[in-house]
Amino acid sequence: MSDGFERLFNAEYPRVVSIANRVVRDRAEAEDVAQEVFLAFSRKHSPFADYAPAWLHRAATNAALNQVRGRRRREQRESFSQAGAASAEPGVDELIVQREEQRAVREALARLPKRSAAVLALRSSGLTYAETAAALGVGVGQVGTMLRRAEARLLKEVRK
Amino acid sequence: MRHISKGALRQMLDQPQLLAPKRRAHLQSCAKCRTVAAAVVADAGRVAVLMEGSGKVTADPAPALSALRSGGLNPLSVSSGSRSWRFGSRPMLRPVLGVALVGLMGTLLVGTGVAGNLIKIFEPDKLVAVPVDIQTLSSLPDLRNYGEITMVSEPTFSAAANMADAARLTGLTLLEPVKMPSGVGVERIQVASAGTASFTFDAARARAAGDGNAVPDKLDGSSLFLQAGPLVVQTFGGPADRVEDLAVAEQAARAASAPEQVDLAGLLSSLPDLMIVQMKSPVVSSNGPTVAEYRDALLTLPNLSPALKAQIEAVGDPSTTLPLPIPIDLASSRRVDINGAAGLAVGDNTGVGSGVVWQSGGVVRAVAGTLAEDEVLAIARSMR
Repeated sequence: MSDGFERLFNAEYPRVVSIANRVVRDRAEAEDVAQEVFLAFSRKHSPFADYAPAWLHRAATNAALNQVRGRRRREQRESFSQAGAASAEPGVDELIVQREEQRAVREALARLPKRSAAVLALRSSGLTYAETAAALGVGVGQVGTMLRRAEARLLKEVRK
Repeated sequence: MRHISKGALRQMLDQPQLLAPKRRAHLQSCAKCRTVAAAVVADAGRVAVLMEGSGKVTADPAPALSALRSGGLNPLSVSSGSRSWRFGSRPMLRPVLGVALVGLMGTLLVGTGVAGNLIKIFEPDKLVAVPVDIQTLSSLPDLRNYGEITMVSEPTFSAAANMADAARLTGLTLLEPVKMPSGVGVERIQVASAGTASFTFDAARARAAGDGNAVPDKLDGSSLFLQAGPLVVQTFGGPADRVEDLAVAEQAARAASAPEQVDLAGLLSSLPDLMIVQMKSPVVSSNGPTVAEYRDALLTLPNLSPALKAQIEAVGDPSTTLPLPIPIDLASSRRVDINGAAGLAVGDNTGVGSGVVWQSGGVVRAVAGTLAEDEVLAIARSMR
């Protein structure tokens, strides 16, 4: 494993996980997504490329959204475990409500256009306007407009 | 003054220092904009709560790296890391290269022994807007599929103490604004010497690239020589002033100290409050074909939309006209007069920024920033 790759991994892994987590809303899944993203990067790109961080940030949102849109088994497991939990453990209602909220946000994000979901995930993970713009391949002056539109759409989707 | 867009209001929430003084005054006096701003802020707050979800995740890379190693998934296929600037390697660079291809402009008149064999085919004395959509430009083929790009001489970059120093370093007749709006930040002046690049068409390479790429026989082996610069850039209120945005400052500093590694997209995203650019008009020379023959070849490119073809054909005399691509998804343009010279005013669709470009005395000049169009025009027209 090259030094360059290790340095890049150490520098960007926490952020990539954070971005993925904003979409998948599950820490373990977010870490899986992050691993896939770094592997995909390593196959074709140099760790010294100036665009590496932006590429990783963007790929994290894409991979996380693909994960959410493709998943079915997890939803079934959640339903099953929630039903079981509700019947076996009184007092876990709050946890179930929280899970439902997470799922609602996750599904709403999955219904948004990719770039709208991406701009929300990137900004809420703490990326600056400049970093968000670099990841999305747009001018920094566009980020405010993209954010505003994405926020309006997310609220509309969540209310459905 | 027109109302502030929702996008600008949303950006104002995160970067209040970027709101231009006139817009700030408008917001204070306009009830409608204040109502819209309140709604934008409320929505942003709700979404922030939703996105926060189960709280922050802090991931430790060490165990993840171990897992990666022990899983036998060794990413040692990572290359040793060429530090060269990869043409077309970023989504933003493709439209820039598309621009170069659309106009076949902004290249070099070589001041070497080759110059004697070169015919100057392009030296613009007027500007024309060419509306294009980003999707079309992004889908244009990679320039490298058509031939070889060679940097014959790299421009050198330096800081100038003042405009007199910049004029001495570049030999350009520079203009300076007499009128400036209040609130723009500290001035910095950077200078770049002329740079030279060549592009040689290669029909075999085009055929190997496939996807309909082709170089006409009469262009195969021919070369275009491009000269751009020297140029002077005055910036006001750059990223270093916004100390909380360290990533932007770092990126701008990297660009200044290592121009061969310039991340064009990153640099574009770190534009200061106001920028004035003055550059010797670009010159293109060829060692054979005429500019009309190059333009005809350009019109045969795959993925060129009928609308873009029509725009290229409408440019007029290609040897004297500098086309300025205007991304219609993002901006609009109109013709303006700058002290007798024909110019183009460009405004972005978010209303956050605007600019004006014109040519006078063999120098292309531009003023742009996070200002309203009338402010940018006033600055341009005050330049003496």
